[in-house]
Amino acid sequence: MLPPGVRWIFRLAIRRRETIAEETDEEIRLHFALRVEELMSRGFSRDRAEAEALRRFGPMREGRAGMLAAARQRNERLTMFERLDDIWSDVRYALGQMRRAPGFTLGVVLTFAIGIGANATMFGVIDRLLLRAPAQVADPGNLYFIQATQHSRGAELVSGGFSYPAYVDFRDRVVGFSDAAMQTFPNDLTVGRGAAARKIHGVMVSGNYFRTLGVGPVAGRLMVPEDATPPTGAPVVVISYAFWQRAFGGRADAIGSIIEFGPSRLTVIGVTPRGFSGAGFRPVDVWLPVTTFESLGFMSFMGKVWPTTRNATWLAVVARLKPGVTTAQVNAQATAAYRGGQAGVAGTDSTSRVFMESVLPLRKSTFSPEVKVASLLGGVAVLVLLIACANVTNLLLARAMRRRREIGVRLALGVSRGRLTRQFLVESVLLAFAGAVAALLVAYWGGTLMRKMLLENFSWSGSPIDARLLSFTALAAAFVGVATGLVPALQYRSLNLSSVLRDSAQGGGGSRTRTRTALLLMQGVLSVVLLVGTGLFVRSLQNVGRIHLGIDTDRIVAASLDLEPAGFPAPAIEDFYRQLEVRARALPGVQHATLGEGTSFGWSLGTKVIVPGLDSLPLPAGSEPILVGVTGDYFATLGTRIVQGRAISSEDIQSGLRVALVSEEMARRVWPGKNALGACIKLEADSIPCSTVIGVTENVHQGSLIEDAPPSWVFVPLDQGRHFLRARTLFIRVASGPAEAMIEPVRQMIAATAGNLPYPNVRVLSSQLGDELRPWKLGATMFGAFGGLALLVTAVGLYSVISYMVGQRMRELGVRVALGAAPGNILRLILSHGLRVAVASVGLGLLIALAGGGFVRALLYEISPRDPIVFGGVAVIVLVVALAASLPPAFRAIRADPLTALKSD
Amino acid sequence: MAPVPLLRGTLDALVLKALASGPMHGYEITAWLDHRAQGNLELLDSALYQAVYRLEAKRLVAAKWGTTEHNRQARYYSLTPAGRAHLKREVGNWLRYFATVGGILTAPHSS
Repeated sequence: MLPPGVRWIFRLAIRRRETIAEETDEEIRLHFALRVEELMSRGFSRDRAEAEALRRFGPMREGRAGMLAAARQRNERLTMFERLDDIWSDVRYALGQMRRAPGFTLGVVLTFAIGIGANATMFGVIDRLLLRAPAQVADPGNLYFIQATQHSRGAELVSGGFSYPAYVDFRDRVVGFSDAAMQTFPNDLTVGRGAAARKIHGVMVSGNYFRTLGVGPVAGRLMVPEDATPPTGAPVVVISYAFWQRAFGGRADAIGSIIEFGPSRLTVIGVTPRGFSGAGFRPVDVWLPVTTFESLGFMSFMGKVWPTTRNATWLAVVARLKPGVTTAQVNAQATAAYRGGQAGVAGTDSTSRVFMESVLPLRKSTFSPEVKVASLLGGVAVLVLLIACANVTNLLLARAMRRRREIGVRLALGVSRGRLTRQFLVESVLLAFAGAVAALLVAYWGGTLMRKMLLENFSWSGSPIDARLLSFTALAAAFVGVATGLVPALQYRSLNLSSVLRDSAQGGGGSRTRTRTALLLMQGVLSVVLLVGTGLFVRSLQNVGRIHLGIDTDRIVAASLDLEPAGFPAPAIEDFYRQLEVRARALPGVQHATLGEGTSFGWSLGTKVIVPGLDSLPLPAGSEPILVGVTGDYFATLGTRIVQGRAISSEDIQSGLRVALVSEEMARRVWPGKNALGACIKLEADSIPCSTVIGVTENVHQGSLIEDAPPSWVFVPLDQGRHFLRARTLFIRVASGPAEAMIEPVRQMIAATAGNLPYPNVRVLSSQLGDELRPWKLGATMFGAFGGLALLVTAVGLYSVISYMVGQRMRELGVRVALGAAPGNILRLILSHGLRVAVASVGLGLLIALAGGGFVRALLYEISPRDPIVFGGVAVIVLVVALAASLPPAFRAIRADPLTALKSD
Repeated sequence: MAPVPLLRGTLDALVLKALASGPMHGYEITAWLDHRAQGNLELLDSALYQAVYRLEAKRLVAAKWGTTEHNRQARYYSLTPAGRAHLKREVGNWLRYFATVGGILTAPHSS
């Protein structure tokens, strides 16, 4: 059975056809009777009068049918008009009410704006991260990234990185694939030279990439397999729609123009459709044939062997399944192909399993930390909305209580309860939609901010506010509008005039105060939960920030240039870097400068190390020692401590003495319980003479904040490194202040050293940690924002309820004051109410946080989801805020004037 | 002379005019019209009722059940403010129409 308040919707159905027919027939009957009377009074006989009346009426059957049809149409239209009128008058009434209480209206609209805005913002993010397929890709449900498992150190690792020959195995041997393409992970590329040089995001792909993804060009043509067939391919480049607009203004003559990438000049052949970012979600500006890989100087250590070496995993494989083939079938085929190809390759796990990972975010087996945190924040946004709804409901209840007399009178005047219910709902829905409009502003700013600050490595296109977000917001507004209006509406259905008139505006309403306190409690509990989440994320972020990397990443500027591919001969490169080192030392603000071989933080290369007397190094599989060539200042510059022995000195380098330092982890594993100092290690081959271990360094991270186990390092004098490793990096230690400020001077210094250089890659080492910090930053920032808003909204709610309570009990308080109650007693009376709610909120909220801690455990870093400091801190904050919110009304109560209190009402 | 058929759209205006003098039930409207048309208009009563219903649907006319002087139940129709305004507009239109068309039709031949 429907509640009475909803029945008006179905009034149309209640007005039955029979009534219309009866009414019409009644009218026809009367018409005939009067007509016949009139004719007879003019002398007609009854028979003739009846015949004449009928003649004038027209053919009875058709006439009556016409009248019935017109009457039915009339009733339908009138019913519709009536409903519109009712709603319109309700809207006008509600608007009037809103205008009459601008403060109240503003409060509610703002609360809704916060609640709906938080959800709209998070919806925008989650929609992009999780709900959408890669843009412009045909049939994405049938497209997969290939992943392989690898057992290492007893754990099963999953990796989507493969070597080129492994890709070819997949492409040629898995019959279940209709197509398989490869792509590198997005790289920063330098376009142009000198002052015009700038960085863009580039991906190198196989020629069948676009065919595999099923995407066509919007201008020109996309790559074909011949464009990227090893060893040379074609000097072409495909650009994204956004890059086309940005760099070429969307002009047609962009096709055929030349883009200079370091030493390579590539011809633009085509433009991808708008929004296309490949099979993933990272922003991409250009797609290059994989054959440009070598000439662009990427991982130049690999040299010309990239198409054949299985030692480097540097590409991802994206494959499309043939129709009717299951993933289980291709998983088996791909596993066989992979194991076959890798057989005999050092460091590979013969039990590797290969499996397909959908490109659809929702169907992935693992989610990136960003997605996990964003989803959690989506849930948090819903909590914020719940708090906002509870608060608005509370405000509406309070106002309805103030209006109860008016409501009683309206009821007495015959306004139906259904109508009254509808009025409440219309009002709250109107408020919700006003809030939704403001929420769109919140979503716009919030979305823009999140894209820029927290999720900048996602491909965003279009405004943060699109049709999907608008529909979501409208739905949310309708839902919260009805939800918040329903409670006061249903509470006031039970009112009747006599009860309203009997208890004055101040009395009664006990059950309503209980409802309000319950709502307040709910807000408090949710706020506590959110604040606990905030605390946990902030502490995680702190802990991550405190990780000791073995390198002072935030004080080190690293600079490198791709000189070899730019055509510099090897001796000149060596000289050039020496020159840079000297010039860098002379820069103001530079504490140390040193040269290193390769990039010791970021990516690094394993090397073969032989220790006489050991068949193989007792290191975990797949974790060869990392070899770094260094100069004397290296350890002081990077801030790596020597825990035993000494550093490499200039004399060592000059004398050509073969010396080496190893990291603690390596020393512990290779020479357990023994002193590593003085030991002999051989690099690369047994025939090479011993390098004597002269020192042990602390453990150093390989390139990320969080690493499963410390890697093993070997440091040797710079020119004793691998013969083919000529890549050099200049490391500069900044004396004080932010290292970022040193980037531009270093760049200028390099540009002034020689002419026509490629764009130098200058960065602060910690910059690459930003990606890793992002999930915690995202969590801490958004949890903080939501938690803060929740607490604010709840505090305002508490304030309003206590104020209302004080207002209601003014008379009683006045009497108490008149009877000589001490201000302290009254203060305690009022404060105790607020604090009781706060204490109950803290208690319940912390219990829920304790129970729900498991949900976030995986997203935290080295902090228990039951961290006592966080829990204690939240309890203190909430109690203090509750006290602050209750104090103003409590002081108002002390000042209660007995006389006015008694006279009021 | 034989009665002339009504021009399109005139019936509505006539009904509104009838009701301008006060609420009437259906038969009163037909009687009012018969009296003034003097049998010159060709009009079926059933068509008149349908016109009234249509006016009602447009909310130019409102209806209410009431009792006649002989204590019979009848549906009484009255003009709404919108109906009154509509009538005024229609009358103006008709006057202009007749002045124009009449002027043309009755002008002396000029060849």
